[in-house]
Amino acid sequence: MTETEKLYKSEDWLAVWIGFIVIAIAAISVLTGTFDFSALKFSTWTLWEDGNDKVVPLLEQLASVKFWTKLFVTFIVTSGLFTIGAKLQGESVKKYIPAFIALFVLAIIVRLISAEFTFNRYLEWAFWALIVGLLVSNTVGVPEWLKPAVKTEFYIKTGLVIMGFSVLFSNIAKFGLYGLGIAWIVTPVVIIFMWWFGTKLLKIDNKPLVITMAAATSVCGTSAAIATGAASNCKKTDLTMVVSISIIFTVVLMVLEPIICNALGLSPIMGGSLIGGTVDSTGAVVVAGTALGEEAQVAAVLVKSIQNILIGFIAFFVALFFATHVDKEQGRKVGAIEIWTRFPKFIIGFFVASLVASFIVLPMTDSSTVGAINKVLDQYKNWAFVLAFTSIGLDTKFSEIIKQMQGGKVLWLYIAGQAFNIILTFAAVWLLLSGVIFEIPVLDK
Amino acid sequence: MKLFKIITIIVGTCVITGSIFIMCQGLGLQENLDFGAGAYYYADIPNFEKFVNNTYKTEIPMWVHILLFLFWGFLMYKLWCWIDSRKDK
Repeated sequence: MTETEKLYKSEDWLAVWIGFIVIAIAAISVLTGTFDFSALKFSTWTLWEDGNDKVVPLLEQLASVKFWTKLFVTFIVTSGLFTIGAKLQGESVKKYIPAFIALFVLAIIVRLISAEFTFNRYLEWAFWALIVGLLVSNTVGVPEWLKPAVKTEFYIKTGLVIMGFSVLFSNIAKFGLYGLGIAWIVTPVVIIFMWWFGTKLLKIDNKPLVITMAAATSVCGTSAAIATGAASNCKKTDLTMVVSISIIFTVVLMVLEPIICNALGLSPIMGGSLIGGTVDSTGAVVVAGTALGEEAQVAAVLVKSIQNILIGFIAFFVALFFATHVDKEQGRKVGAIEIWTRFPKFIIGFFVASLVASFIVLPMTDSSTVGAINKVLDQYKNWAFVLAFTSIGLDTKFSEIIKQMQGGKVLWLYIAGQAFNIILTFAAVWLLLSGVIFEIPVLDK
Repeated sequence: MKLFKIITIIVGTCVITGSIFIMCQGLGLQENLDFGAGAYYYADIPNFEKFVNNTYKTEIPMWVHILLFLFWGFLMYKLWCWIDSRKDK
């Protein structure tokens, strides 16, 4: 395949183009207001009326025309774009379409389950996508006709390019040098520590697994794992392992950290910042921060918003590191052309989307317009990731996951990394926000 | 090695049991927030902007933040490469 052919035939570039198309249509729909491009999102549901106005009984959702219209739009957009992508990669359209329809049905089941009142707050789609996929592959098995749609990397890369638009560089200054000190000084140090701990002390040979776990622990859990896993070309079972461990520990940390912060007598701004720097997923950060009060909530979110910017940079440096250090032959220098050939191109798409949002669309409009565009894009990103994680489950055997645990080393890598992360973040928080050395910042709640 | 595996199984079981207990009891949730650990990325959170916009004001221009950001990232990348190459020797 020539370099020009790669632009419209390789998985990486096709993911970039599909991502850009979705971003462009979403932006046009919001800016012109002429059509609704939103994808389907199940509202939080229960099977019964529970008096909470945010909870919509399931049957009421299923009975609305809006629900079916959005489902139709979601299916047309995703199936259309991914079928074209699959065709350009040499896949048979006749085989891909029925397979995609089946995968899409599984994805609907996943999103339905994950919108349930309790599941929605603790586990959500990535976990359930893996479970549904694993249940199918390890019980009835994956039929041959379904396999053409199991294109995990393609969906992940597309989802990441779409996600790039929501990464706004302006967030970097939202908490001044305090935020930068807490989020950015600590994160790479934790990654390097976990790399050293995993590869040298625990002697884990699977380097993509180590770096994916390190990024998930130090940055923001699942999203960082997806990006870094794709950048380091980790196995699907690695990603399954990392995401599962990260999600389960997030549930525990979300509850324990506010209790510990209170027990230690930390001020709200210190407690919130500690939570923002160490709890893995953004939703859990907001909830845990809120448990300590309004000021803690704001501090937690500010720190987390800076960490979220890091996803693209971490993925970029991981891709560069793997191209120049891990994947190269022993003792041989890697030239610029080889680095370019090996470099995952979807990361370029991610950065372009992010730069366009930060330095073109945001200055030309305002944050609420960018927020509205991201609200549309967010659901397409989630659908792409649900397709990806369901594909991972379909492509994985339980026995492979147990083997990937490497006798429990992976669990200890996470525990050691997270403990180091908490200690280092606490040190940064104390130095910057205790008032002993620097002035305590004032936050508007 | 056997002890290591036993401790790992105990710790793993405790964490999973603890997380199931938390979920069953609905611990740590905030009534007015319709999301939790499952909302992974900030775009997952409705009206995320309201949490971060104009809550802190700084005199330091954004380009200083970006420069420091890039400088620290570059420095850490070099440190990572150095640690990895030392490990190989």
